[in-house]
Amino acid sequence: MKILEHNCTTNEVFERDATAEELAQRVIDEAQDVQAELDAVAKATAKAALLTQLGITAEQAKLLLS
Amino acid sequence: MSKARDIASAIPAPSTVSSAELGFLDGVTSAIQTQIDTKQASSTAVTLTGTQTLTNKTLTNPVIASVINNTLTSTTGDIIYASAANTPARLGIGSTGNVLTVASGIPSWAAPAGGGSLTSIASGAFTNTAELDLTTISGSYKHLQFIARNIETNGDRALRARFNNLSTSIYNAITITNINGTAATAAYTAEDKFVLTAATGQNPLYGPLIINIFDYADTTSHKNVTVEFSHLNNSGQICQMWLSGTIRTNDAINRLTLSLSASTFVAAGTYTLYGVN
Repeated sequence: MKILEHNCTTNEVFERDATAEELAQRVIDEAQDVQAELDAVAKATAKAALLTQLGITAEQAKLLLS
Repeated sequence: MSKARDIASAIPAPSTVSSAELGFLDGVTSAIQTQIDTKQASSTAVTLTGTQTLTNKTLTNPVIASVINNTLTSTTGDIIYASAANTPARLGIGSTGNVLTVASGIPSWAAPAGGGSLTSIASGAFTNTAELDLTTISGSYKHLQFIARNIETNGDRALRARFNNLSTSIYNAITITNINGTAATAAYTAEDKFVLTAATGQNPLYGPLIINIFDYADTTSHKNVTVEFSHLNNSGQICQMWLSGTIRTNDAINRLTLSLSASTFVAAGTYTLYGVN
C-alpha cells in the first residue's frame, strides 16, 4: 500500500510504503466499514419491515415525523 | 518774522519761555496734536510697517508666550506635537504606508496592524495512493485550513481524517449529511477517526473539501474542527456534509492524514494546507 507523504516543513513530497502500523490500521478501518455497511443494511431492512407492519409508506412515515 | 525761530532771535525771550523752547516750534505749520496724530493713530495701538525688530516687548492681548520656532519643523513631513505639557516637539515623517498611532501616550508612526492572512504551507496533487499524509506541520500559525479540490476515489470508499496519527477513541463529532435531499444526522463521542463519507453510496467525486482546525498549536486544550464537503456521489447525486468535532488531545496538531477504507485516490484532485493568522 502506497502513501503520499508531504513534509510541510521541508516541502518534500514522496510516495512511500505504508508502515506495519498503518497497514494494521487499514485492516481495522476496513472491518469497521464492512460492519457499518452491514448495520446500515440491517437498519434499512428493519425500517422496511416496520413500514409493512404499520401499513404505511416511507413518505407517510416521513410526514408523521415532520 | 513768520517763524518761531525768528521770534526767538529777534526779541528777548519771555521769562517763562526760553529761546530754546521757542526753537522747538520751528517748522510747526498746524496744530501740534494733529501733526502727532498723523504719526501715531492712537495712544495704544502700534502700527509697524516695513521690517521691524522688537526686542523685549510684551504683547498683552492676545498673549503669545514662547512662540514655536519654525525651525522645529526641519524636514518635509514633520509634525509638531507636545512631548509634555507646554513642550512642543518634532515628529519626523514615517515610512510609506505607515499610520499615525499612539505609543506610551505620544504619537508615532508605525506599520498598520495586520488584518489577518492565509499562508500556503503545503500544496500538491493527489496521486494513486491510499492516503495523503501531511506531516511536520509548523506551529507558527493560529489556525489551519485544509482545502482539497476535485477529490475522487477509485471505487465506493469511505473517506476519513486523522490527526497526529492518532487512532484511539478521541474523536467526537456531530455530522449532518444531505444526499440528494435526504438529510441525516449522526453523533459520536469516541471514534478513532473523523468519518467524512460513508463507505457506500457516497464515494466523493469532484467536491471541495474544507477542514478547519482551530488553535491547532495550543497545548492546553482539545482541538475544535469543522468540515464542509460538497460533492457528487457515484450515482451523480449532489451531497453535502458538515461536521463539527473535537479532537480530545492537548497536543499541538502537526499531522493531518486523509485516508480511504480501501482502494486509492484518483490522481486528479489537488490540495492546499493554509496557515491562518
